[in-house]
This record gives sequence, structure tokens and C-alpha cells, in this order.
Amino acid sequence: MTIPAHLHDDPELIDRLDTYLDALVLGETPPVSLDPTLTTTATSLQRARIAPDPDPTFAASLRTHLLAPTSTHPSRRRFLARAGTILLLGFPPSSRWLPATAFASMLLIVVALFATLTGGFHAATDWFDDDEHLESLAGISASPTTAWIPDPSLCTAPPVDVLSLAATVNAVDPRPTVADMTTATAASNAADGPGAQADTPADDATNVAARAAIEEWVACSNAGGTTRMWSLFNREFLFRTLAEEQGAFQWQPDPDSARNETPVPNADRAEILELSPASFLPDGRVMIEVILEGGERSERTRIHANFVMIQEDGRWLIDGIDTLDVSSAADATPTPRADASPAAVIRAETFGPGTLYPPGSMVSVIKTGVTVRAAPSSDAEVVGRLSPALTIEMTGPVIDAGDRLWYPIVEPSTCLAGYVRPALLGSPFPSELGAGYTLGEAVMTLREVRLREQPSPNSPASEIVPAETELRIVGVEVLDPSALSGRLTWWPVQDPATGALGYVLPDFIDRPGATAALASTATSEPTCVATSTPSTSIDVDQVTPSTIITAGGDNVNGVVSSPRATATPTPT
Amino acid sequence: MIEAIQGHRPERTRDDEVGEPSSAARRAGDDDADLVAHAKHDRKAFAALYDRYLGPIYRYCFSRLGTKEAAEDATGLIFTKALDGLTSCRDGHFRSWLFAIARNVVVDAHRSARPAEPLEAAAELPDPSPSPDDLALRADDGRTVRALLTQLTPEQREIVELRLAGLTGPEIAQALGRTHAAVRVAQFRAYTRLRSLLHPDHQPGPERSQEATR
Repeated sequence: MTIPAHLHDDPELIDRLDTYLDALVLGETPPVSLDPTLTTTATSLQRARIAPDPDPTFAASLRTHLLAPTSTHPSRRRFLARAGTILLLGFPPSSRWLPATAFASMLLIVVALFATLTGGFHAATDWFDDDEHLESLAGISASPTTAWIPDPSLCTAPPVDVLSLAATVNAVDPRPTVADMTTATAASNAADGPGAQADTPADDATNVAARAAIEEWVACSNAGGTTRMWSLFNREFLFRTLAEEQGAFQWQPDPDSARNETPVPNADRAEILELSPASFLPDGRVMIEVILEGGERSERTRIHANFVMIQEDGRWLIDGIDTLDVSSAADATPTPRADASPAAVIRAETFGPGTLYPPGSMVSVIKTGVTVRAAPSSDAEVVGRLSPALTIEMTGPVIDAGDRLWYPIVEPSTCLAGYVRPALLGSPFPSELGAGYTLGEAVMTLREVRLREQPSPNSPASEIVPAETELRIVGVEVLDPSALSGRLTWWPVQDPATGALGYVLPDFIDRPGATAALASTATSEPTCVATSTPSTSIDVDQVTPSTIITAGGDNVNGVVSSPRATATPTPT
Repeated sequence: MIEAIQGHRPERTRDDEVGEPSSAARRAGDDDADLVAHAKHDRKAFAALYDRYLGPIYRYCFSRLGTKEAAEDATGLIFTKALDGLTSCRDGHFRSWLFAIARNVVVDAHRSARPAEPLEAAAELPDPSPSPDDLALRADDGRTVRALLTQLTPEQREIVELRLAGLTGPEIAQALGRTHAAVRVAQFRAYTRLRSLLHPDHQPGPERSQEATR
């Protein structure tokens, strides 16, 4: 049985639609025509006003704001940090808000803030990294200390009244208006006047008191006192955080939460690894760099954060947390997931330089807190961190630093430039055609395939694997550098039976569950070809990636060779 | 929707398979490039870029985030980041670069995504009972389109929304960090999916036989 042409992605139709849409958005007469219903669909959508125009007041205000000579003032950056925070909300439903252990709660807060503050991480770091402050802040070197576990007895803070807190929080609309923007900026400008202190080491009394507040906060975590931890937050910060995060949910806390405190078992208590000396910020608050570790012994998590402290009524309270990094304590450097056999896991970078990210390619970040360093070395200064899903650009060829590979990158939205390790990044060209396998995942060969030593059809084969052999994915999908059309990608795999490593085309592997069906399809549909080009024998050296068979609107992976001679990759 | 970025786009010829901008897009990029070059030295020159792209960026944010407030916050962030990072913008790529920033800001905003918007949008899904013509007519309606977009995968939706914001295929590829080929495939699936929603009576067939050749 031949698969009808309309059931798969016909390359010509794909190109034609793209050409048509390009002309449409460029306001030109389309040089091609489409099926009438597709034409109607495209033109109707393009005509639709899916969103309103910006409010003229907002447009004018933002325009003035951007172009104002004073717009680089730190206060503007501070506002933007808050605005960035406000954008990134999401709050667990009430049943998940008070977790079993306070350290989990602390993590929840910090990780949530990580996802919010550092989701707008760059905006948040603007807050701290503003031009004139950068050097002084960088000068806050975490003084070497011996890690210690604050005892629960150090937690003397009273619990907050969660019901009144919830009533307040649920009534707050945390989002600022444009008018707030102007007002906030003006207020901040005023606050940053001549009287403000600027980036100086805190005096001894401030240093001791502010650091003690953080120590007590961790102690309350170890005491299981989530609501007592909250009382060590500045109220405005707490309201803002909770109100922002409550989002679409109305917070309904457990009124008995304060009575349900259970101290964390000794082995699982949070510990302070490093606590830097306090340093004044220009507005009189202080900042302390903190490295914490906590969680169950088997899954300790390390948090590296800047705590901003504010003095109120003689007490130092937490007024902001800028999380710099959250990682597994067992291995601060992100590693392949645990479900992959260590013996089977090899870093994609071991396949050699130049195979992953060509200069100029855009790549998604897939790990949290990817470190960007000033030089291609693990010892080089950290110049920033990247949040997951950000897109970065590879600005040059890979650098082989001996034991590791480094890529020069820039994050376009902030111009953050530096070097990152490729293991922390996603595939440069996530396959539209493949299944998006994960590291360690088992796949089955759909036919006899060659494991190529390099991601290229011209590379020697390290092994020839029979059909229906289970292989393991051992890296990320890579682009064949000889096929810059992006149509040819390879998966690094290992044959568990022999230990042989190599690359295979996505056409020839699939998840085990799909193999039988596809094998059945393959045997019953030997003439399954994408084009009218005469069918040829399938050979790894000559095929392009499979197309996707679309049936009834759903995608079903199938093996459809497209033996177009023009697409045959050229040797590198 | 595209009026703000029209007027500087001469004829376009189809380009290659490797995601290079079309000639029209390149010329549009040249136009932007002049403004970018000026803005790198004179902050006030950024005003022209702001005026040109405020609408598309705001509408993109609105369609992605669903509320005026969120769209305004995101738009403010995007233009601030663009202004601060202008020196890193490569010649001829301002539009895709700006939308890459926009996309990153929106991704950040969605990191803790709420279900509210899709649910609200789902409530506005077209009633299947109207005729295909009715639906096609209603496709001009923004709310209907937003509801339709919820029927796509996130990736497909992103591509369509960038299309609706006026980006060309190569520009979408640059903004998303994808190959043009990958974008084309996902785009095709998105539009055929939308077609199936708008034209449920459409009978898939050997379409090329119905279509004029280039």
C-alpha cells in the first residue's frame, strides 16, 4: 500500500506555504498559490487583530522613559527588576504551599524566586550589577568559613498569622501600572539622594546583626517553622512575593500550620556553607552572599544567593533574594541524569570539537543556572548565569581546553558574553523529525544501521548493528556540520551489548514501543516514499531524514525515505 | 498588524535552504541597520526603532501573555534590554534579534505559567456547529484566533504568532534559534491544523494537483 501524498509533509507544499506566508507578511502578491482553504486560513489569520494596539499613554510613557537621559539611573534598573519579577508568577495551590519540611519551603521560596527573579535574571542582576556597583559587589568575596548547621533553638522569631496574611495577600494586585512606574522611579530617585550610603562594607554591628538574621532564618527552617521563616521577611517583600505568586489562585493556608512544626531530622538540616560580610547598597540596605545546602541527605541541594537585608525597627529582615545558582550538592556541576547508566553515559562533547554548535547557531539553554565564564576554563571568573529556555548565540568555534570543551556565546537580550560548556545546552537544532530522546533512553533500530564515528555519513562506521537492536542515547542530538540545511541530524548512541559508540540518523531508530508498529508498516508498505522519485534502496549514506506521516491531524513517525540526490550531504 | 513594519520592504525573492534572510528582508534589515547604527551612538535615534516596533512587539506580548498589564511589563523589559544591548545587535538582524529578546522575556514570563489564559481561551473556541464559512469569517476575529492558537503545540503557536507579528520564515528561525527548515515543517503542520479547525469539511487530497505551480 502506498501512503497518499497528502498524509505526510510534502516538502514542496511546506516550501510553498512558507513562500506564501512570507509574501503575505511582506505585503506582496504571493508568487505561489495554495489550496483555497489553506489560503483562506492564512489570510484570515493574518488579517485578524489578535491583540489590541498598545495604550497610547503607555506607549508615550515608555518612550519617554527609554529615551530619558537619566534612564540608566540605578533606580530604573531597580524598578525593572521588580517588573521582571512581576512577570514571572505562578504559585502552587494552597495544598502544596506548606510543604512537609521547612527547608523544602525555603527551597520553594528560593527556587520560585529563582524562577522569577532570575527568570528575569538579567534584569535582576542589573539591579545588583549596575555599572558603578559591579566592582564593589564583586569585591564581596565570600569569606572562607566552616560550614555550620544553625540549631533550631536559634529560631526565636514568632510565626506570622497566616490567616491575616492570606487575607491581605489575596486582596493585593501586585502588578504596577504605568503610573506606578513613574511614581516608583521618582520615589527611588529621591531615595537614592545624597544621603544614601554607597557600596561600603557594613560596620561590625550591622554585619553581625544582618548575618544573624540569615542564620536565624535557616535555623527556623531547621525547626520546621515555615511561618516563622516568613516573619523574617520584610512585610512588603513577603506580601509582594506571595501576592505576585498567588496569581490565579486564592491562597487558603492551613491555620494550624504554626502548630504543626516538626523539626527537621539532624541529617537533613540546612547548613550554611558560606556567609559573606555584609555590604551596604546605595539605598541603605545591605547585601550578603550566601551559600546554603539542605534537603534530605540523599538529595541535598545547594543554593547560592545574594540576600538583601533591610533594617526595620532595629531588626534586620530579608528584603530580597537573588538566587545565583541552585544545584545538586552532590555535584554542583550539572551532570547527565541519573537514569542513564554511568558506564553508558558519555558526554556529547567527547565526540570531538566542531560537531555540536557551528558558530552563529542559536542554542537553547536546558539547564538551570548555566555558568558563563570569562574564559574557557572552570577556574575562570563567573560573569553570569543563564536560565533555562533562553536562546543564546554561539559566537565562535569550539575551544578545546584539554579536559573540556567550551563555546564562546552571547545572550542577545543582555549581551552577556562568555564561555559555556556544551553539556549544559540543548541541541542546536532540535529535530522536527525525531522524537526528542533523552539521555540514557533506550531506542530500537528500525533496520540494519551503521554506527558512525562522527555525525556524518562519510565517517567510518564503528559497528554495524542489526535491526531491532536496543541502543542507548548517550548525548544530545547534533547537527551534521556537512549538512547546513539543518535537515540532517544525528543521535549519539551506544550499543550496550558491545559498548560501541557512534552516531545514527534519527530515521533508523525509534522508541521500543513504536518499533513493532513501524516494522509492521515498513514490511507492508515497501513503496512508502515521500516523493514521486523512484524508490531506491535505503542506505545510510544517501538518505535524508524521514518525513513525518500525518494522519488525521496527528503526527505518526514513519520511515519514509526521501532519496533526493540533491540533499545528499557533502563531505566535511 | 504589519503596517508598522511595512513600507520598507521591497520585493522578495525566495532564498536558500539555510535560513538566510530573503533579499527583501535583507533590505529591510539594512533600513533597520542604519537606525541601529545611529542609535548605538545617539540614544535618541532609538526612538525610530521604538516607534516602528512597539506595535508588533506589544501585540506579540499580548497574544502570548494574555493581559494588558503583562504585555506592558514585557514590552517595557524588551525595549529596555534592546536599548541596553544594542551594541551586540548584528547588522541586518535587528528585527529577529528584537523578537529573540521578546521571546526570551515571554518564556521567562511563562516559566510559571498559569492555566487561566488557555482555559479562558478554550471557552471561546469556535462552536463546531457553525458552517465552515462562518468559521472562516470568524477567523478574522482576534478572540477566535487566540482560541484557535491554543489548539496548537507551544512550538507551533510560537511560530504562528511570530508570523502574525510580521516576521518572515528566516526571521522566525533566527528569533527561535531554529533552522529555517525546522520552522517550515512546524509551520506547515500548524497551518494545516488550523485549516482543519476552520474548515472541518475540507477533504485532504493530493493538493498539488489543485494548486498552480510557481
